[in-house]
Amino acid sequence: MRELRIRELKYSLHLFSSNKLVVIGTAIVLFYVFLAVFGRLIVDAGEPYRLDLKNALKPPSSEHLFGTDDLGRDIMKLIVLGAGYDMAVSIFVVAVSIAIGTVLGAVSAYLGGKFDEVFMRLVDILFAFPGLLFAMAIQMILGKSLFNLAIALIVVWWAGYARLMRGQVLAEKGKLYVRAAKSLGLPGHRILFKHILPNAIYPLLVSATMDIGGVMLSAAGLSFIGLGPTPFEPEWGALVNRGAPFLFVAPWIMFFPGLMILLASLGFNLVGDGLRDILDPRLRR
Amino acid sequence: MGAALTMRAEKSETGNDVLIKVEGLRKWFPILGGVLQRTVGYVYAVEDATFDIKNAETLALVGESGSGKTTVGLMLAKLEPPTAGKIIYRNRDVSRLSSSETKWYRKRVQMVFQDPYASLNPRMLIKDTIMEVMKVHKVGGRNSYDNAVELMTRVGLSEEHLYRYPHELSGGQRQRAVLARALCVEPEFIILDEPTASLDVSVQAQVLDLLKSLQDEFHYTYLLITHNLAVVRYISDRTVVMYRGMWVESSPTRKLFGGAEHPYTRALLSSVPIPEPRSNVAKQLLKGEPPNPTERVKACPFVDRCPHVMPVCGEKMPPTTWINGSHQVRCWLSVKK
Amino acid sequence: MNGILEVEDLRVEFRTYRGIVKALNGVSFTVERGEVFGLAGETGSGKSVTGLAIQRLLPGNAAIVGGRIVFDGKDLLSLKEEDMNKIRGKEITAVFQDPHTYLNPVFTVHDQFRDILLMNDREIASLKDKREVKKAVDNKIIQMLAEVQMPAPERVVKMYPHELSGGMKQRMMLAMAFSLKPKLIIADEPTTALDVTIQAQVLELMKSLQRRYGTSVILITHDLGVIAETCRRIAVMYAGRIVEMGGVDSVYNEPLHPYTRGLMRALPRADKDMKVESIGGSVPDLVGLPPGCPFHPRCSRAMEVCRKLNPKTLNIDGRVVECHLYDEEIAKGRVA
Repeated sequence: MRELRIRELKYSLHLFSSNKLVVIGTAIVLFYVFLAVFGRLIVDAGEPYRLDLKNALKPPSSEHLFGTDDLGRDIMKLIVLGAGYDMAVSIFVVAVSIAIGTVLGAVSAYLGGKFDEVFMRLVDILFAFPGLLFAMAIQMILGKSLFNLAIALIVVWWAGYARLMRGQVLAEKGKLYVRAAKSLGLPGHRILFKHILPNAIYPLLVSATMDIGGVMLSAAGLSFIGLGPTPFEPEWGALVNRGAPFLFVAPWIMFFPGLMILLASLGFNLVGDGLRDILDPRLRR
Repeated sequence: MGAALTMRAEKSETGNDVLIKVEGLRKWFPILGGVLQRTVGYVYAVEDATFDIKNAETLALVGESGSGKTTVGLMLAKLEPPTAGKIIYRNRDVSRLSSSETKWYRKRVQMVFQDPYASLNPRMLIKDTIMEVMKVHKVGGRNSYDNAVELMTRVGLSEEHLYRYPHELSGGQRQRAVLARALCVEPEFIILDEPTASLDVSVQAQVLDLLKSLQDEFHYTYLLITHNLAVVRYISDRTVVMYRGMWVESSPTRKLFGGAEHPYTRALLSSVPIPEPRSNVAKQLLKGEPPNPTERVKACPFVDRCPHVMPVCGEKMPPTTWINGSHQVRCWLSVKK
Repeated sequence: MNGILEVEDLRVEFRTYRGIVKALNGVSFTVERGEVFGLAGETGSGKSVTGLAIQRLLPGNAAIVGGRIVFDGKDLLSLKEEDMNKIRGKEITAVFQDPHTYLNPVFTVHDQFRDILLMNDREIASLKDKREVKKAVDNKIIQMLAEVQMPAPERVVKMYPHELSGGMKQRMMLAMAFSLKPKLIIADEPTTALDVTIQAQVLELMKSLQRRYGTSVILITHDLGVIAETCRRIAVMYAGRIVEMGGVDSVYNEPLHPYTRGLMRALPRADKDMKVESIGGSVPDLVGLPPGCPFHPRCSRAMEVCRKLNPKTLNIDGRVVECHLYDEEIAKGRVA
């Protein structure tokens, strides 16, 4: 029994590592996670508060590898500290959105009929709202903060998962093993949660991994227009925002955080790609 | 040996030999169309299925695409509600059942599907697949693992196969695993939908022999749905031939292969390729294609392709003719005799 | 040698995660001109791989690692891809089990044929006027469909593949395969997915077309009944080798190899009552085949030598068999 698990794991690893891009993606993601978790240990958490106007807007040098911003803070240190915020927000948003979306989407698909019709219209209406404006509106109501930014994103994001999950469940519902389970007398709720969901959710997991990058970009975008974190929360989007007025004077303030955003979401995308290949048991061998 | 699974079929209650009786079974699938999803037509999958199956007997339901045989199987397995007609199981009308009654039914009637790979959850070990079913039907209790092992042996697999995923088994092994799963609820009646279709020749024979020996030992009743006439001859006692949703001939298998009455049955029998060179069986080639079930049939369903078609065949539905006590045909040609 | 195709000691290997799969281990046979040759076997026998190898259509992880394939005097394995391309579709065509693999779902029946004709039909190529070309193409297509007894050809030409029944699709495929009058057609399970009565029609059609055009056909299938009714010679394959080959009459009436015997006895019959005997065990794993005869673990007549040595290919009275049971025949001098 255990050797079966080990065999499966080894094969998964093999699949994963044989794709160079995926390996690169994983390396990026691991690096990013490392920064997010240990950032505070590497860099002094007080850095965002350390104003040093004498050293403001200095270009990259041996002392400040990425230069300094308009308040004289070391950009590299800000980035390191900011990693944690981004990761927290992205994972929080994706996790909660998936939780809400998959349950609602799955139930809707399984019940079908009127409930499904009504629910999908609701989802369609939600989709009709431009996401960014919607998030802005929510922030206006709830107030500007990183947490509210996350809430706003969740409200926009869950519908996508609901729709995806519904499609997946509908697809699985028609498959023979579900019919067989029914003919064996297994009760409906059991079929839904123990049979359909585990098979339906894998594409969602892949999508979710890639969405972590997407959420990061959205959060960055919203921060960029001024919603979300305070100046003392070095979330990467906010950092890019700070650098906007200084684009021609000190481009490095925008450049480096922007680059990090790009790399991180790229990394997650690549990993998501690799996951897709591993997780389908029938694609193996 | 763990707590023995009681696999013997109960003696039927009134001493009547018939286990399951199907009368005028019909299934029309609505075709939805348009923006408002209205019913724009029907697929007349099954028009009239009528037959009996006796205890511990094997009935073969034979036909090609469009015959409706698989749909009949689905209706008997309670996976599709009949549009009309009756299903009588042990003298109880089970045509429509509540959900608790359905659970009672499912413990006695099981279906083995055509594609063993697709009918297994690809992410579950065989062990979990089987034991889950046992748990839901409250079979085995604390000994359910031992019972599962016993089941594996009974179908010709071993304990280690419990720890495999479906894609790790060969075709024949999967078919046996699916059979084990169907048997673990201790059914009486098993509907087999093309049980050997996806198997290699050498494995086919193994599975057929397994089915036969299980029936000898445990008195299962089988409904064998297939288009493979060689398999029909090998393991079935009676045969019902279906064409375009209707039964056209019903007879003990032995007699059917010697003296089929219905022109369709005759053409079907002669079309089977025989592994004997120059066997000089004149093939009765039918013209045309198998029927499209989106139009309803008012008269004999075989009228477009029958080599002996007469005017009356297109006007009225042929009546049932009894050739002798056990052989029935629905054909105008037989009425003349 | 009058054969249109000569395959000599063909070896094909597949690279997989689990190791090298030896799909073909020295396959040799000849197909005569105008002959229907049956290649029989179960899964893993290598019959489909043989068909693909001849057309050099093996997937990326496969490699032909030995042997020769000579078609109409040309060494196929030494041809450049562009030259092989000229042969495929014209001199060697293929017919498959699943129409989805070759019918483009967005092309009507008419369009599927049109391109083939425009490229390859010499008569049409010689016409200059566009309208004449269109008329010629249209007529030729209807003619070809009528030849394969397609019902209502004028209506069918405008249909899309999903509107056709299985039998109609296979007829279309036969029309496409025979349309350019190829010298060799490789048919891999052409009727397996069809209803029995349709199968009978399509096989009759195939036989009559083959007779009319004198095309050689390699019919690859597991259905021994189909081979008995259509082929002149049969080669039985097991685990990448041909274990028995000969005229259909002699092989069926007096099978020499235990596997062939086992297959015949394992088949239930629709035409007579007989006791079916299954062959125990299962098809071997083609990764790391043990030494000796690949069939020995399942063979009721296995001897010591079968476990150790691969049997030689023996030619007995014009029949080919690979089995140690007949080693004494060598001694008796009956073997060529």
